[in-house]
Amino acid sequence: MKIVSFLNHDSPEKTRIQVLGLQHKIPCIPCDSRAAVLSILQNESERDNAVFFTHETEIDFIKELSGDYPTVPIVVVLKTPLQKLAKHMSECNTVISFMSTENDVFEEKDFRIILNALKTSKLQNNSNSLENYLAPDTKFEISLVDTPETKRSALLGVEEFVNNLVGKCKTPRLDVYAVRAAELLDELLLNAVYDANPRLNITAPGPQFQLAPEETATVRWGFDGELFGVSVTDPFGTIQKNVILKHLDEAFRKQEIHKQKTAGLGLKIIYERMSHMIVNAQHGKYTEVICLIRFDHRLRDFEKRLRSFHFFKNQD
Amino acid sequence: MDVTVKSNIIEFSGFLNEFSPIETSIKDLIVQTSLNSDPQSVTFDFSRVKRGNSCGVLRWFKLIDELSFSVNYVNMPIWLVEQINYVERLPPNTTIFSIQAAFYCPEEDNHENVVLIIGKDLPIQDDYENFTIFCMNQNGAKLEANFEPAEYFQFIVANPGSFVRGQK
Repeated sequence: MKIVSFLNHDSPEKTRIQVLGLQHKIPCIPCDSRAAVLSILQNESERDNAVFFTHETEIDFIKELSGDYPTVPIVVVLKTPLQKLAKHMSECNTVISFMSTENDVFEEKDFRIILNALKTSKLQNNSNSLENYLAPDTKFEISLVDTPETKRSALLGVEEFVNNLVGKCKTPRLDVYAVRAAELLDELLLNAVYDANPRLNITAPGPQFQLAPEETATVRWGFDGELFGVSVTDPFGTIQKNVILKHLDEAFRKQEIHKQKTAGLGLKIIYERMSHMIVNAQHGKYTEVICLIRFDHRLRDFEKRLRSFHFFKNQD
Repeated sequence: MDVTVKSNIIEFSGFLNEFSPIETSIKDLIVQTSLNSDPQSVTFDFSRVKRGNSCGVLRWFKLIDELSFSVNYVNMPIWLVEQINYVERLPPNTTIFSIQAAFYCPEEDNHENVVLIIGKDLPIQDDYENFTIFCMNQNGAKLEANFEPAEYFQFIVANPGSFVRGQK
């Protein structure tokens, strides 16, 4: 793997990506012009295993590269919230990650998420990969959801798990974070149980459902001392990146919500409760949505946190 | 979702979600309770509802949109305020009298939720940029907002007709 970066000349992210690349023994080629980027990507052997990092201000260039070099994943280092850009980014098929920055700083966690996904996607079928994103010794809980009762049980399980992190986590507001984690999971399950399932998505969610074994959703969660992670896997693989981006777009979201569609509000609830969102999907096979949450000491700090979105499409 | 009626105040508890009988027994109870008031109205207290999901909230707003009388809210919990902020638009027959908000006490390093009466504890403004709000706890220690006022009070800015000025 190699990193090709085209970031603002004086941006701290440019230096940081080089340093992180060195730490992970990944060569980094900084470019100071579009021509320099193209000179690398036009060469087939040079673009092999390349990952391209740039800012969202290069949207036209991103669109161009996305069309011309479909095998080169693109990481967008955001200067503005994703919700304000989502509409423009939905056409760029090869963008795999949106890394948020605050005062020109991004989280190393996002860098590691990207590396992890790129290293593992070609090796295995990652339908249960939450453990890849939390510390190695993390213990995980698992719950299968196929009825209203098992859905309630999973929500309660996550809520109790977070509430019981007393002594393992510094925040005194575990009760609030427990509710938020359950709210987030509820939305992920609405998607996995009703929206993703072609048998159930033709009607509004109702008070009863019974999923067959091959339709069952799997919930996993754990805490590694720094981050709480929860994942929901469905066996349908119908989720699409451009649909998520469309719903994240502020203007579209409000318009849809007023029409009483749930996807816009549900995604907003998820987005407002997570720190990192990772989607692993294989069309027709599975979708795994992973949300990582950092529990800040003060809720106000949590509201200001960085939020990043990664979408990794696995091939057959 | 469980329901208790006190005069014309309907208190809910539990969860607002796809399992809540919103269009059936809850709707019937709301209409029946509203007839006790002249002019016809009903007041909701969601403070004991622990959380709600997008499906429950949107079904709830759809029901409120269909009602021909006024609906009021007291002690609106944080999760519902947040979801109204995401939606931004309130049904036109809606008035919110009071909400809960999260506060932090730096002196004691603890947190608590405080009920704010809109128009009294919380002024109705066109925007809340650079707005600060403080309270005192039972020990007389200062509490500061544990949220961004411009975001948390956005539902007031977006729906100026849904609030009563100068409440006592």
